[in-house]
Amino acid sequence: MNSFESNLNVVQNEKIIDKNMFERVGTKGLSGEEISKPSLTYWSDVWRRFRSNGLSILGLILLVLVVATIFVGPLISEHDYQYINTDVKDLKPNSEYWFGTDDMGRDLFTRVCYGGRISLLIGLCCTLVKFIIGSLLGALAGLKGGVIDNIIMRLAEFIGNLPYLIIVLILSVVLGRSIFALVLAMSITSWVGTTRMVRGQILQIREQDYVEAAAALGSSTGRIIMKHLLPNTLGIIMVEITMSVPGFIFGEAFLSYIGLGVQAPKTSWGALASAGQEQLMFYPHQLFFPCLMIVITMLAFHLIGDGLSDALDPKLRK
Amino acid sequence: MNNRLLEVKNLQVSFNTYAGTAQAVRGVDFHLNRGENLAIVGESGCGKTVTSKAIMGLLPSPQTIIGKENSYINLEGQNLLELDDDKMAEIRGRDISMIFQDPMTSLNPTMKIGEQISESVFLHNNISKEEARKVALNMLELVRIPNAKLRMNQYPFEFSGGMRQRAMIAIALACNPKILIADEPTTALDVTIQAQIMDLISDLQKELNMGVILVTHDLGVVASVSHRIQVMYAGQIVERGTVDEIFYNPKHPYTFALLKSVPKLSSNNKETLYSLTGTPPDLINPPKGCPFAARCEFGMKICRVEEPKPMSFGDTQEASCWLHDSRADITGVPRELISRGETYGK
Amino acid sequence: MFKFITKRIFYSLITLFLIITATFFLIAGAPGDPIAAKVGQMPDKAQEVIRAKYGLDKPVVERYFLYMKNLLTTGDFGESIIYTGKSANDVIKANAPISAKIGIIAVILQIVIGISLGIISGFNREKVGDHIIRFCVVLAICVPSFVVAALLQYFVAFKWKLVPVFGWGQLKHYILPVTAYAIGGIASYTKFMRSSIISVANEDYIITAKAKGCKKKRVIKNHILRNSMIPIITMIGPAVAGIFSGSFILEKMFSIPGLGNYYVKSVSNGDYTMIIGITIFYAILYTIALIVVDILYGIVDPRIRVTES
Repeated sequence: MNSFESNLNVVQNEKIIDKNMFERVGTKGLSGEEISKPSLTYWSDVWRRFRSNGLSILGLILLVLVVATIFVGPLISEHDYQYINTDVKDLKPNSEYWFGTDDMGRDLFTRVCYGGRISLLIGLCCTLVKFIIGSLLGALAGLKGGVIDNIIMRLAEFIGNLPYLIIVLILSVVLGRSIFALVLAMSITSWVGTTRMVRGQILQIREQDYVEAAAALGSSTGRIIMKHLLPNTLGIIMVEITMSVPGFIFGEAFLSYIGLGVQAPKTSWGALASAGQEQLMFYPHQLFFPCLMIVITMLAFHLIGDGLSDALDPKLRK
Repeated sequence: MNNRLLEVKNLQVSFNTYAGTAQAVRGVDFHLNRGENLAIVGESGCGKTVTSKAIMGLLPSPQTIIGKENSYINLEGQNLLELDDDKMAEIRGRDISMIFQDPMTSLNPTMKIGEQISESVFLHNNISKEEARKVALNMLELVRIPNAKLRMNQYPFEFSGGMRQRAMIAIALACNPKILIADEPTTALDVTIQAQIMDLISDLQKELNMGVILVTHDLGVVASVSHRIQVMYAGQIVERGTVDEIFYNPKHPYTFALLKSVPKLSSNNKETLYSLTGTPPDLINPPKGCPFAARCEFGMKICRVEEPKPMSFGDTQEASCWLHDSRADITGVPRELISRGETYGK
Repeated sequence: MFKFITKRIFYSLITLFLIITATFFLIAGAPGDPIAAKVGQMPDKAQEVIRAKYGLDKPVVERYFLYMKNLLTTGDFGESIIYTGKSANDVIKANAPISAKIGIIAVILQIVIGISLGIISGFNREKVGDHIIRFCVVLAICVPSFVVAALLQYFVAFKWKLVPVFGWGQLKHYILPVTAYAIGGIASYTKFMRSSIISVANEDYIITAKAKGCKKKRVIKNHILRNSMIPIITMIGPAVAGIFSGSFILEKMFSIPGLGNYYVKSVSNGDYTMIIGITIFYAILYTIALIVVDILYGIVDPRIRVTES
């Protein structure tokens, strides 16, 4: 039984196999690499995971709906958001005034649309300012290092140790009550997190072998940033952005609610909610609709942000 | 006396992924004897780690399916596949222990080293925490960590990589297990430390008369410490044999390729180091025939259609390859690969 | 450890000093006449007397040094320029405890309920309970506290008449504001705790613990929970520090005579001495809270404790 020869013949002779089958073909027509699973680029993989998540798609749909409503809505409703008509004040929602009217007889639907534009605008502007300042300072700190890094990070630490809400309050007292001042007050101290994140990413990625390899191959700093750092940081930045916008919309609502935000005749969701609050017991719809819009928008951004971060998380990648 | 410690029969493991079910381990049989050092060798993704985690019962439960029909993992006659979680937990650490690839992440960062070692002792023996600590201290000395008393009260981040792997070994051996599974124990370490850790494992194995399963992709590591080697590819064992058989007389082209890609000091400097091209096949849709066919320079038509059966070459060596069929076209195939044992021992 | 704490306190003092200075110059140095509204109708002579009383006839820098001297020697936060004779210290003493009570109850609820829900959710990943908790979390995070408060006021207090709509003094007055305050925080802690547990459960050292023979319960108790609680502490810091500022809107909505309510009133009245005083008070509390949290963090995470000392 231990003889090699007998073994060979017994084992392989169970089936009669044509002699041709033993013709040498090597690896012709086959490639070890091609058989591997279909390769997906990083972003198409991210998109695949994002798409397969029903909630993130719901978020996208909600956001599109909100944006469409606030931009197209006033065209259809044919009311002016500032037009005062005391004959129709405090109406409940009806076919003429879809969201009812406020205490001065203005059409609430149109006001919610206009207010939404301001709220979204403020949310986007603040996010933009936050990310421009944050990324620039973070990139500067991460790339230059040394004294510059030290100064920026000390500053970030200092600002990070301030009570945010109170700073915003103080700044809006000092800066006055224009929309510009509001954006400035909310975004001027908000960049700390972005700076830390971008700096951290740069330091981390700079140590990776492939970036060292690129540098060794003579790539310029600019090229390394464009080719390696940016694509790797982009994902996290996108998540941060989607999470920032609702934060600022909320901040604006908060400030408007205590009377420091958007001033009349302009309006915003926060200002509308604040006005509605005073009428809560008798005309709850005046609070309900602006709040509903805030909640839907926040929900949309959160769902998208959650979906994105899940889709980007390599730990869940299988 | 029964010398068999562990016997694995027809082990099948698959994972559910988004693309389908990946068959990570496809019918693996092997055994381990008392005091024996068995190496499982292969590229990453060939099923080595999955096999060892399956023995430990450490595979994530909802995503993993372990085939139970006609399969068993027998530890001294007890089928581990039939045990529930709690029973399995009693086996782990007491009868079978495992150390992992990356000592930097394998220790609990907020627990003192001494505590981490004595936890294992405390869990499996009916003794006080004080006594468990004494055993832990002995273990630290056994794995040759200097200043063991002081080290007991330190945290993992105060240890170097090599020290951490020693601490991991101390944790694994604290209860005097019958089997130690070492999953790439030196891959994450410096080369000089690698040899020390391998020597330590091999010394302790003799001292404690354990069975060791050494999982690695590096044949160089295996040569001096192992008794037997089995080569895995695409979730199957393609060849097995004693160290001498595998090193001097490989029978499978994959083993042959792995051996050729180990750098040798003695070889002619001008020779370029051989490297095996391509990657292992997709285990979601495993190819028909021999899984290595797509990368095998000696591939024949039959290799793409029919899976080769394991063939014995003596008591201890076995390989699954069509080249050893009497009808095979062996022109140009290196002599050592097809010779049937005659070069062995020369 | 001692060195770490001293260093931390030293840095905080510098931060605090900078905050006080910046606040003072920003508010006191702001363009416009802070006292115009009050003295507008008075004869010039009377205006000058009042200006002199508040030191408004002196340059900002001199006022700053005077203020700092008073603050450091007597702990005097300043006097209201709208309500003569009312000092910021009085207001803080009378109103801060009320805000603190609501805030502390709410933050404790947030931490206890949030962490518990996070643990339930994290260990039952993708099961029914987890889905329900996650759904509620998303909802709670997306609904601003003033909306929650308004809904509670309208339904619980106004429609169902279970508790009074406004008012202060009795236990039943706490229910709505504390609930409205706590809900958002509960959601954040739940979310954070859940993801922390999931990431720790995927760490290699958890496999080591299992390989050692720890049973499920022990793995959770001794290995996962401790390590996943650590990052939560960083969140608790700002939450504790924000106890006073967190209820600005709620105090206004429920007419609670807390410090936040008073602060917001001062801001809209332009009562600038009061704004400076209360802001500085907030800043001091905030800084102390952050120090305490840092020290706590050092105690829990050995990596910080040992490397810093």
